[in-house]
Amino acid sequence: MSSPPRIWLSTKSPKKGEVVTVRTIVQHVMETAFRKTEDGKPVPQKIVNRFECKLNGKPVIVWTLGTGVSANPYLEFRFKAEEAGELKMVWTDDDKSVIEAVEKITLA
Amino acid sequence: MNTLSRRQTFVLFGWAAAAFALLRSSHVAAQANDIVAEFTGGKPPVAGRVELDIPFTADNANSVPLGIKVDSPMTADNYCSEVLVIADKNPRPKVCSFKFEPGLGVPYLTTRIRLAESQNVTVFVKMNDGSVFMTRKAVTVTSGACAPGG
Repeated sequence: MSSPPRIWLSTKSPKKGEVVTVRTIVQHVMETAFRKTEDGKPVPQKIVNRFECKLNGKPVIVWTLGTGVSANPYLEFRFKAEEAGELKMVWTDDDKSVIEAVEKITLA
Repeated sequence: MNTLSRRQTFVLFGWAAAAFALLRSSHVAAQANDIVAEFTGGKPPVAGRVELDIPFTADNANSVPLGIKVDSPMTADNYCSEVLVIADKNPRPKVCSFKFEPGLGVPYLTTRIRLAESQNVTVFVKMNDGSVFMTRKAVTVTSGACAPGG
């Protein structure tokens, strides 16, 4: 949770209807709860359990993560740029804290 | 993590893996079946319509690249609504799932997953009409995400 998510877009000013590729990576330990500390206590689970991306509030993708997703969850996805606006991405942690990122999309 | 040396961490991983191996085998298989049954809603999955891009051999089981591409027009009356990734020999077989909606959604994605050991990775895809498609690939891992290191 220490550094902001890194986001790459194939273009920030696509043509209307163009498919845009987004790559995201967020720094997170994704602790599975399968490990134990030195004194035998289980390390509590701490994962990002949900990622959601919306363009102007319209759903693009919802990702429900389990412990089988690698640490520092990486996701590349695509969306159709039907309108200009704000591409909002939200990662939700087990402890309900969120990481947010917003990218401005303008139509060419 | 600060209190654990690298070696201790590896040893603990080892014990955890051994304990799991004893408990797991039947339990996890049943768990995977339940998850899939819930997802499909009883419909038998048909092979096809989803491309699964995953290496045949994974060098780093903690980070196995996984690509999914669904053959769907994504129109309002014909779209892919859900994707489920199952690794049936992982301690928790449900790796992750995705939801799409028509309009802006494009059912194409790449991520990285953990695999506890060599196993089949299966992707199930549900269309808006409830039909279910699947693709399965076997992946060999050279060291599992839960196995003792080196």
